[in-house]
Amino acid sequence: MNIILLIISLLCFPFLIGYGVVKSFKFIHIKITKTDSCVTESALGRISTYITVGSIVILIISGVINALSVFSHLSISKAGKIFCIAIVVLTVMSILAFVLKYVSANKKANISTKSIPSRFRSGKNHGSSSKTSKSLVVLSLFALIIAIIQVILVLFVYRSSYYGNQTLETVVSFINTDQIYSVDPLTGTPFTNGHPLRLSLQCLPFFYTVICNIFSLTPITIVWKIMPAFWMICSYFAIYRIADSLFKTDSRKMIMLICFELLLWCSNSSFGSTGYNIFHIGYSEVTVLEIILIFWTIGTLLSHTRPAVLLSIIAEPLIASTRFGIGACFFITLVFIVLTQIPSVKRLISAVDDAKGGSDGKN
Amino acid sequence: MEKINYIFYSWSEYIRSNRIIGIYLIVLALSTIIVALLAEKNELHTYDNLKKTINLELYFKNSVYLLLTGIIISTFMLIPFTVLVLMQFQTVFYSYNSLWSMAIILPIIAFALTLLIIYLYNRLSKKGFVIVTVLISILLILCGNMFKSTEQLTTFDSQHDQVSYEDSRPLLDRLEQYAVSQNYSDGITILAPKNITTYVHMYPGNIKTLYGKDIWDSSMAPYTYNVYSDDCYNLYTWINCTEAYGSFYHIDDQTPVQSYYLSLSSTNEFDTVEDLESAALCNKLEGGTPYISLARQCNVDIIVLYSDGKRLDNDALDLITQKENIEQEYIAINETEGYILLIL
Repeated sequence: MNIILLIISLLCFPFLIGYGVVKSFKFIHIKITKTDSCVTESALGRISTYITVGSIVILIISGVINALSVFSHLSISKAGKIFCIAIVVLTVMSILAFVLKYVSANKKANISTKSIPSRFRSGKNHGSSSKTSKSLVVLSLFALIIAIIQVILVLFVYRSSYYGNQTLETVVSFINTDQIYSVDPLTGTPFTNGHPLRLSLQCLPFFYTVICNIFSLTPITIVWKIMPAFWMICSYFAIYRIADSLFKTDSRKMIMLICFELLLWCSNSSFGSTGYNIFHIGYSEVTVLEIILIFWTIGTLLSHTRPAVLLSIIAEPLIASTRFGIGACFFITLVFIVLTQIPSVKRLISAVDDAKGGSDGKN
Repeated sequence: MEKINYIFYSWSEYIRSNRIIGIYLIVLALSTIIVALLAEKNELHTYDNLKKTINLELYFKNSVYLLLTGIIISTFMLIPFTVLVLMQFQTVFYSYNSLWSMAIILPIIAFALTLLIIYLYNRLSKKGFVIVTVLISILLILCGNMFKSTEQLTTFDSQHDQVSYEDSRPLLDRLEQYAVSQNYSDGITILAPKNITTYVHMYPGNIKTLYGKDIWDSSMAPYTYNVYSDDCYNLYTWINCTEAYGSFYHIDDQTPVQSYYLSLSSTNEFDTVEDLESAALCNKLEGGTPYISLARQCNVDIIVLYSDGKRLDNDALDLITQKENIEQEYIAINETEGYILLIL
C-alpha cells in the first residue's frame, strides 16, 4: 500500500508542481515552454516540461532545506516536515492555478463564437490526420512497452552497484540518528577527521531519507529500486523535450525517444556510460546530473527558453560536487552561448533561413 | 605529467569498454563534415537538394546547435589540457568517465538514428521501411547489454570475496536481535570480514564497525576524509585473512599466513609472541610474529569469525578463546549457518 502511494506521489507531485512553476514563470514573462515562441510545442512536450521542471524544483527545495538543516542542525524529522509543507503548498498553488486557467478558458469559450477549428468545419484533413495519429499511436505504444520493460528490469532484475558510493549507508545513518551527517555513514561512529561541506550540501540522501520516513519503506527499496526507476522515467521526459526542440512532428519525436531507450542498453557496458549509470547506479548524484539536469539544460537551450536553464544551474551544486558552485550545466550553457555568437555559425544559420524563406523560426 | 598520463590511460580504458563512444565519434565526424560543407554559402544549394530529397521536417538551427555543442565538448574531452581544466572544476570529485556525460552522447546518436529512419521512410516502400526499422531495432537490442553488466557485477563481487546482501541478511538480523536482547541502546560494534562490513551499514539497524568499506575500496576517496590507524589496518588484515584461510597458517604448508595474532588481553601488551607467557601459544606459533592487542583499540562487542562457508580450525579457535583475565564467551551459532560470533 505504501509503495502504491509512493508511486502515485512520484507521478503526480512533479507534474503538478512543474505546471505551477511554468505558469508562474509565464506570469512574470519568463518563457519555460515554447507556447509563446513561434516554435510550437506538442501536448506531450508540455507534459515533459512540467514533469522535468517539477522534478528539478523538488530537488532544489530538498537542497535548500538540506542546507538549512546542515547549518542550523535541524533534525531530519523537522526538516522532513518543512519539506512536506513546502511540497504541499506548491502543489495546492499549482492546482489553484490550473482551476483558475480552466475557469477563465471556459469563460472565453462561452463568449467567443469563432473557436471551431477548421478541421471540424470541413473533412479535408481527416485522412492525413488519422494516418498520422495511427502511426503516432503505434510508436507511442512501442515506446511505452520498452519503457515498462526497462522499469521492470530496474525494479526486479538489475543489481545496484555500491562500489565507490555511500548513498545507501548515508540514508541509513540519517534514519538511525535523525541528524544529517552526525556520524560517519561508513562506520556508524562520530567523525574523526571532519566531513566536507560540499558532501553535506548534496541533497539526495536527505531527499531519500524523507521519502523513507514518510512512506515507511526500507532504504534499500527506495534507494536501489524505486528512485532509479523514477529518475529513468524522468529522463524519458527530458529526452522527449530535446526531441521536441529538434523535430516538428510528434511521430519523429517518438522515434527519437524509442532510439534513446534502445541505446540505453547499448551503453550499458561500464561505469560512466549512461546506460550503466541509469540501470545500476540510478540513485547516485552522477546519474541524476546527467539524465535530468544536463538533458534539461540542452532541451532548454535548444528551445530558446534560456532563462529556464537557471533551474539546472542552481540545482547542480545542491545535488553533485562542484567547484565554487560551477558545474557541468554552467559549462554547457557557456559553450552554447559562445557558439551562438560565433560569426560563421550565425552566417550558416541565417543563410539556411534565407534559403528556406525564413521558415525555420525566429531566434 | 602524471595527470596527463592518467587522462590517456582513462581514455583508452573507457574506449575499450564502451563501444558507444566509437559510434558517437563517427557520428560526430560525419556531422562535422556536413556542417562544414553547409557553412559555405556556395554550398547552400546542397542543402536545398538535400531538403527536397529527405524532407527532414526538423528545426535545422537547433540540430546544428546540438551537433556543434557535442563536437566542441567532445573536442575538449580529447585534448589533455582542456580535460585537465574540466577535471579541476568538475571531476576532481568524480572520474574521467563522468566527464563524458557533458558530451550528450546518447541524445546525439538517437538524433542521428532518427534522421536515418526518416530518410529510409522517404526512400523505401511501406513494407520495406517496416522490415528495415524492425531490423535496426533488433540490431540495437543485440548490440545492447541487457544482463551482462549484472553478471559482471556479480563476478566482481565474487572476485572481491563479497556475497550478496540477501546472503548476509540472516547474520545481520541475528546481530541486531542480540543487540536488542542485551539492551545495547547505542547499538553494538563488530569486527567482521569484508563481506559483512560492506553490508552492515546498509542494514537498517544500529550496528557499528571499526572501519568502513573505504579501507579497501579506493574509489571511496572523494567521499571521505577517514584516515585509519595502522592498528585498524592490522585488524582488517587479520580478520580477512582469518576469514580467507580459516586459521593462522596456510592450510597446505603450515607456514604462517598473517603476521598478527589477536589478543583479547587488556592487561598485557606484547610486541612478539615470544613475550607471551602462555606456553601453549608459544608452541603453536612461530617466533617473531607481531601481535595486536584488541583491547588497545576501541570497544568491540562481537567478532564475527567466519562466514561464507569457511571455518576456523579448532586450534585457531582455542588460541583466540584463551583467556587472559577477561570474561568472554564464544558462540558457535550453528555450523551450517556458517559463522561464529565471539562475544566479548
